[in-house]
Amino acid sequence: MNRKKTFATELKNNKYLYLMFLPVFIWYVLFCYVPMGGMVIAFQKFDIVKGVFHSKWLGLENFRALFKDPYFFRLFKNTLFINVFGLIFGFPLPIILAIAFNEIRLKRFKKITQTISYLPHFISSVVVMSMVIHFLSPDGGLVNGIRGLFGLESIYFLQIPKYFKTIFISTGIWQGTGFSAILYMAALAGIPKEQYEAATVDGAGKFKQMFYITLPNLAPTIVVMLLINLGSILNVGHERIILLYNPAIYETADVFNSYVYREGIMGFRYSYAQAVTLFQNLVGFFLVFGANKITRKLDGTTLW
Amino acid sequence: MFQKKMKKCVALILGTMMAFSTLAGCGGNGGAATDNNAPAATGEVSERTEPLQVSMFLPSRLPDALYTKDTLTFKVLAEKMNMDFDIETVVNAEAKNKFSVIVASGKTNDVMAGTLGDINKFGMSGAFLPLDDLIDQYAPNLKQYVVDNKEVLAQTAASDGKIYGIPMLTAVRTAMGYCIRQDWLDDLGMEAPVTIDDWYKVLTAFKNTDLNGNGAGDITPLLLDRAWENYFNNFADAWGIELNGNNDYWMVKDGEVKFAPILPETKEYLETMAKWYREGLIDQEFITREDTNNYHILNNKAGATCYWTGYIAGMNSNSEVLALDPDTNWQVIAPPVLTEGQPQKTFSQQAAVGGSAWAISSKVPEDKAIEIIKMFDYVYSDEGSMLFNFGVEGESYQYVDGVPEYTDLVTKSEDGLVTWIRSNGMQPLIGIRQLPEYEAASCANDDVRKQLFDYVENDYFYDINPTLVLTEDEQDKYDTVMSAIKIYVDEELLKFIIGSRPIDDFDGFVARIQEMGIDEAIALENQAYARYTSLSK
Repeated sequence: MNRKKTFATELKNNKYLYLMFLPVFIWYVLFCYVPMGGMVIAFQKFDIVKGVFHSKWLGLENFRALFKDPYFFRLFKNTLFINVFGLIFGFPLPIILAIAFNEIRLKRFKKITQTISYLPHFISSVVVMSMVIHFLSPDGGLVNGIRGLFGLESIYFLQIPKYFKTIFISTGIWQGTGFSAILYMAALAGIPKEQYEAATVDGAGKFKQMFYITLPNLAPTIVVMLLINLGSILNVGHERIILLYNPAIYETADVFNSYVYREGIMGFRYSYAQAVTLFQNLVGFFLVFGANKITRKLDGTTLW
Repeated sequence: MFQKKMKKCVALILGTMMAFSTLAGCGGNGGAATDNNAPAATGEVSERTEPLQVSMFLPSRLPDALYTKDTLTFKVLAEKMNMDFDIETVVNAEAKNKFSVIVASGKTNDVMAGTLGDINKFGMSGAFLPLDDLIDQYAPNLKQYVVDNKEVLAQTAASDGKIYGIPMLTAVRTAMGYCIRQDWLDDLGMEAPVTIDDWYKVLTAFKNTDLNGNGAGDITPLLLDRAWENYFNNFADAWGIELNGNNDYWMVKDGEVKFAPILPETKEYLETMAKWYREGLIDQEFITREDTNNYHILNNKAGATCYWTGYIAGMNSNSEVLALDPDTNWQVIAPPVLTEGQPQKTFSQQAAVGGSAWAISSKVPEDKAIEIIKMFDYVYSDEGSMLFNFGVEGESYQYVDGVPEYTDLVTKSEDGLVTWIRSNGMQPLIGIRQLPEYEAASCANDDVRKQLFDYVENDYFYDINPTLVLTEDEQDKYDTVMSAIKIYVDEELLKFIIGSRPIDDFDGFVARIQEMGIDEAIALENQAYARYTSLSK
């Protein structure tokens, strides 16, 4: 008997599974791999009339321009800071929230609070950001209204560079925590009840159970989520930024994606925009790759 | 082996595409083919038995009234030209995107309408036909209004000197004017401000007096609009400079192009604005407040503004405004100066050439292009201009004492005059001539009309600072230095005004701009300006 299963026999044996997989496969090829060819414009002086095949080849010129850009360092710093602080403050919260939900015994209360916690995710960013602008307004805004009650002067938050990161990250946390917690809730549901029962018999309290059963069981999910987040360490969605920033606070608010939007898309510099994006993604790729290697060595949890 | 297969594949695809396009061609151009060897007399509609199929891409003015071939003006135009239009459209806000998507796909419609800048850019890359010869031979009206008018020609031609798009010509030079609450001035017993010092006194009085009955301090003396239109430096007029970020801050001074932010006048201007801001004379939230004019004026909180004159004048008859204060009286006043007796002028004005234009795809065969240019020419003729400004005589307008006026069908329509005009295909964003009669007839009343034409009659205008067109090479060099400088200036101007950067630091600001390489951009702009002046001579 041939021990080495050929691809053909594998295909034959699991043909229905592969058939089900086919649409996804086609979707990926068509919409993710074929467009990747378009990345080539990062090395060209792309002209939309001449198209990808006839535009002038520039080699690394666009990348050279990017590294020489007087704003490169600022963009890099802002993007990195927003993401790193976003991770430090935003990453543990869904885990804590999920564990907290898990401990609630009152089913009805649990369901209601959970729903409330993930509702903000479904509000459009445009609405959330204009809410933020109104809350922070010095003229009748909620936050300055409260400051006024304590006799404090009102602050024009969106005009002072040092406040931007805090505003942006906390808005993101408010909007995303509940929804991200769903994933951990699912992982929690998969922990066998017997482990807890055994722990109770052994006399472990709630906190001991959390540290010795819940967290170790969640670890693989946490590691995978962290790895995925590392991939986008140089990405901050431009929509939320451009809804909130203004030139007076570019200093802390301008990130790669908003810069690409402004200079590349609005200014028709497609090749330059593509070079910036390619750079961001390469950094993300190597980070994920490296981190994946490290976690594999540490505890065997990996993305691939 | 692989290459062979590839070739086969390409051949197959090309073959299929060709088959389809010939099929499409047969359906559409049958009529045109019959008369291609005998061009019709200039300006006349050639005789065709069947209407000529013309596909178009046009931006629509209103999202709930997208153009179709049954839209009033296009229907009349198609009948007149014996054409059959196939109109593809999106609402104007999305048009710029859609336009470049269509051009990039290579499947351009016969006629494409978009911004003149985009048309020239893509025209030079080969997407659109150069129209100079066609205009010369077949289009007397276009020749008269575009080619023979040097100012228009200079603003229309691309950097290679050719015409690719037929532009919209504007009728009234008035753009943003200095508007003030005349009734409040009367309450205070003050005259309309002339100098910057007068303005300071008036604005301070607005701030300290309870003019709207909500307690002193409720009024925002002066509105600046950054978030919406990004024209907030109008008061630089008084110093004789234009700080217009939408034109990358370029201006012509003493016969050459200069970068306005580094001029010494800018420092004095910023110093004044910083003082006004610090003292609460300027809206404290002007940086982030969108639609600031509507917000303040509709709530009876605005003392003065510099905004579209006709729009602000129209507020005097706005029911929401009158409900809060029936005496509301916004009046446009002359631009500010530094010392009395100086000429009062503003840079804010409509260029002769508006931003919209239409062009012919380079894929259109010559005989069809001739028919299309004749159609463009008709739209520019007196008859065609009446159609696109006023509609159909006897239906939407009639002459009263030799002056065209809209009929009740338009003026008394449910959604108002402007909406009716726009949803029926008048004032489309294509190559039309806007008529001054249209601007006058569409004013709500005599007061608005008087205010709208006030700056024109008194000639309160500086010479316009043109938007200069760079060649491809120049543009590359320009982008490399200017994109960084533009960001820097955008940021720092605001910081100076709101006081987060002290004005004493202005020299550092200028030095940094020079360090970033402004001299190269200035040289490029001056080259472009030399071309511009040679065309307009």
